[in-house]
Amino acid sequence: MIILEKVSKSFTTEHIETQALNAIDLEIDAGDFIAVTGPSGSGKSTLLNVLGLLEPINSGNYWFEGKNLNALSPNRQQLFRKKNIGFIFQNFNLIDELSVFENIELPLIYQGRERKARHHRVDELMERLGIAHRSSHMPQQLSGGQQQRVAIARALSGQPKIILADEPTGNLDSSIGKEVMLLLRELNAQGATILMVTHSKEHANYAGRLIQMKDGFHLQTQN
Amino acid sequence: MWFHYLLTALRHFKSQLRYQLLNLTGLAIGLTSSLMILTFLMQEISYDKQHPAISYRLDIQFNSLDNSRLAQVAGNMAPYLLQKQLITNALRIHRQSLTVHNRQLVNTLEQVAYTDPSLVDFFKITVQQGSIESVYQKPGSIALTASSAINLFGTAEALQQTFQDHDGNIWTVVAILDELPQETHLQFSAIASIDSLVMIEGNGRLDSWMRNDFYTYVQFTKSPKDSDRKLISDTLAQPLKNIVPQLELEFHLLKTSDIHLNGSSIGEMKFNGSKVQFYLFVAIAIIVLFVALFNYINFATALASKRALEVGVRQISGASKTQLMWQFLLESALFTLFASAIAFLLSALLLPYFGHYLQRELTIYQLLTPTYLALLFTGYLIISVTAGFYPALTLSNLAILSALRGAGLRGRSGRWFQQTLLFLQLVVSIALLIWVGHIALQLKMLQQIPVGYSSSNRLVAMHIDNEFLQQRFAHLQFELKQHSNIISVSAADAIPTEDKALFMQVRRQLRPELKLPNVMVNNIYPDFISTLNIPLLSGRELNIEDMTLTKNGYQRGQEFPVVLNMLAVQALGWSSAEQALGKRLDFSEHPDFSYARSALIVGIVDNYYLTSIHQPMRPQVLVTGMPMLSDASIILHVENDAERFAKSLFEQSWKRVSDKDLPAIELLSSRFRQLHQNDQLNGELTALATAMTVMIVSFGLMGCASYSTQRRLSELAIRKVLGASMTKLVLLLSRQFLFTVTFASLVAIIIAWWLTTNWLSSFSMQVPLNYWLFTMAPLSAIGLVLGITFLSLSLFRQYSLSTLLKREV
Ligand SMILES: Nc1ncnc2c1ncn2[C@@H]1O[C@H](COP(=O)(O)OP(=O)(O)OP(=O)(O)O)[C@@H](O)[C@H]1O
Ligand SMILES: [Mg+2]
Repeated sequence: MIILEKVSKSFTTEHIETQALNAIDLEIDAGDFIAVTGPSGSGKSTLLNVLGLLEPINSGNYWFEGKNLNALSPNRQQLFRKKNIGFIFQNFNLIDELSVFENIELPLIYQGRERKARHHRVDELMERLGIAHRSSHMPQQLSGGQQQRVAIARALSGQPKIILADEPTGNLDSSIGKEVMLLLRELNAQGATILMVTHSKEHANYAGRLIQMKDGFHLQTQN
Repeated sequence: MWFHYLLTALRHFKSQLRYQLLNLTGLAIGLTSSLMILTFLMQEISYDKQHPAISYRLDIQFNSLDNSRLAQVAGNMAPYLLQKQLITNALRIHRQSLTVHNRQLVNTLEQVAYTDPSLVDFFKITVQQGSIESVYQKPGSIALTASSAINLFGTAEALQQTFQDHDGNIWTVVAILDELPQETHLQFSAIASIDSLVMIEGNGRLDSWMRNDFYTYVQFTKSPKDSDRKLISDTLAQPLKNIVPQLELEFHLLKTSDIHLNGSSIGEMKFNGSKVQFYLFVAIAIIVLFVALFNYINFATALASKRALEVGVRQISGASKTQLMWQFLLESALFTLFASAIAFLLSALLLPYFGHYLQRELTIYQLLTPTYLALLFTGYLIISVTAGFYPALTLSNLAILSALRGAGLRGRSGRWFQQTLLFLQLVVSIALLIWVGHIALQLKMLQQIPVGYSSSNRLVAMHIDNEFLQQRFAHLQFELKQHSNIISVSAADAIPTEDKALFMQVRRQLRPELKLPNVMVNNIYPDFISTLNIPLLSGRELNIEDMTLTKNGYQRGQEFPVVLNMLAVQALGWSSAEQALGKRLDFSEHPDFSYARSALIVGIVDNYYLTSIHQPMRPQVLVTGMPMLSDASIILHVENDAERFAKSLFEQSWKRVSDKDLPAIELLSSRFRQLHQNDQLNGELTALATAMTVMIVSFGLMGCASYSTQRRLSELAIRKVLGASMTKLVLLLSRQFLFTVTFASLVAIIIAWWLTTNWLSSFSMQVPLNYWLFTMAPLSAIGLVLGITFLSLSLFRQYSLSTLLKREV
């Protein structure tokens, strides 16, 4: 589904150039559950941002279902992202002024779905993630684990082809973290393609494939 | 989607209620003032636009000496222009009062308009009953406004009622008119025909080239060019020059719809509007609106920085830049709508008071016409887009990643933009403060300016028939002086504050080249100079013997006594009052000094202001026993505190001397105040505008300061833990503002200096620049900043240090 060919990304700040990604080759198939690990500063987040079209690349090719994405204009990229990519963050990033329901509904609104269809979809997701009884709560009224469930529901709601998760358990204690990992694995079993960055060996084991990075290089892949 | 935007907007409003309310108040105040001013301005330009056709008023201007310009011309002018086919239609209006005897009652109809039948071609006159045409069918027909009818007959159903005038002519009411609307320069209580004027006083006034007694309006097929105007002026000047060859004068055409704002000739029908005031208002409206807008933009941008994260989340949820832009623009539109609604309601409440203050009737209903509403809506759109554009643009242009990191609007350019807006607001308010301070000082000085006569404890009764007064003055004076409270009594054709004059030619007998062409001559009655307490510099004042002497001798060519003011003495080449005393003058109505009489200078008085202090003082010759104008005014000097009952004393005496109606009595000092009420008003309005501007800016500062405190709470906590004192924190927080305020103060001082010196230069007497104001205004701005920062730190004290350090706020 996704092929990265010799993708490089570097940052230049005040005369220092950091090579965050160094000629990365990577293939992701539909239905994969991939964990990315590596030391701090090795380029994991950058890889995710590149995949999520949040960061342009310097060289190489980014193919998505046969389409060369780095050739697209920013507007096209935005449209593509809207349809195909979902995000989960370490710090949840829910909008404080919107309720649980409204947060999950957000991508559907921007996709221009009918109200009825939206409600149907959001209800279904909340049911699936066990947060239905929290529907009208505001994010601050939820625990960390619950907030991350909402964030996952939001990432799923637009039915993206791939979900990118940057340390989704980083802000959660271990038992809740484990719950979230189980949830991700279950979602993967139901067909979701997931790429997840994690620092935890244990959490990485939930994934089907493990990618190790170091200094911007793709070190090795374990299945 | 829209519903979702709306919901988010409302939730945000709620979550930052305190700041949003401050912001809303500032914007609402700004919009309210602009809206009220706009209503006033729209009304000012609507004057005399309702009439059936475009017309022009003919004014005459004397180019010799003082360039005085009169709103009325002689009765022969209009027919002459028609005969020369220079105009297509003409209308003459002469106004004078009419005494009405109705059964036992005697009343006065002030300002009856004697008009040509062409009146209806020129002006829209609304008739309630009867018809306006019948006024012109027979002399003695009159159309009354409803209120005059009620005054005379106790009812507006007065059609076909009759009454007699003082001379026994019978008048019949043939029409009842609506009151004149406010939006016209016309003012009268009744309409009669020119034929009726001839009926009551013959055609002496009408058939004249010299008696400027008729408001004269003319119409053309197409609007007159400069050459047409010149031709008319020259044509009309010709017959006058045939009579008085040396006369220098010209005629002006003033568009009727411009009279309200531009008409400032002698003898305007009404106290017209003022162009200066009009533009002052325009300036105030613009300033207040801009300050309010800047304030809003600043505030909105500051508040928006909290929404960076939201923008990032929306972007990864699929929002496009356009959608984000729309969202924030919509929020601003909503906010502005809310502020506008408040402004509309406030205006509806306050407009009547504002109008009362400006002596106009203003209501919110004036805003409810389609054009006006369309204008308001356009204005609303422009304001909400202007106000919302900057925050919307910065927010929607945030890079996703930095937005998600919450980096927000801390960028350089944003800071710059905000500080620039704040800077502009501060410049405007500080400069205004200094300027307004000077306006206040100047106005105060003007009120204490020596006008050259005493106006306190002086009462005046105006519009007294001059012929009558010539005969009965001595008797009246005697009667009045019976009352111990009345110190002295006199009269004159024109008393100070009265806007009327007659001009004559004067030269020195021994040195005829020293002359005063068109000098103002005032006919006074005995004791005039002492009654007004005008300083007598040399010689004596004119007395009752002088009056009799002139009255009997002038026609026979006998020498008569005059009193000059110092300006006249100097203009005639004498260097002191003593030098002029006892000298003789040639005195004539004609520039070529034909039919000249010899006048003996018996006294010299100091100069005094004839009308308002904006009018420079002029050379003047005082004569007595020589009534020149149809009306004169009586003046009384009464004891302190006697003003209240002086009216009844006057009434008693008046009844013994005359069977005419009791004239209205006024205080001379209040007439003087009225003349300067525009100055007063403009000063107060500018002060009000300044107060509002300062208030809005304070709100803005308050918001910005407490918001920046809020955002830096954890930083402040860390500093506090590390040992910073409260003072240090205040300084730290206000540093960015202090820089802006200081810089703004410097610029404001320069602008204020320029504004103030310019404004003061329009006065003949000026207060010196007040350095205290120049220092206090910037200092108080700096104080305000420090104070507000200090207050905003109260936020800081609400939380314990540990909460702040955990960044849980
Ligand atoms: N916006 C940026 N500007 C400059 N340098 C950047 C930027 N983003 C990342 N880098 C640099 O790129 C390199 C890779 O960063 P990245 O965030 O991908 O690391 P990471 O593997 O996610 O680390 P961590 O495990 O700590 O999150 C780092 O050296 C980092 O300093
Ligand atoms: Mg990272």
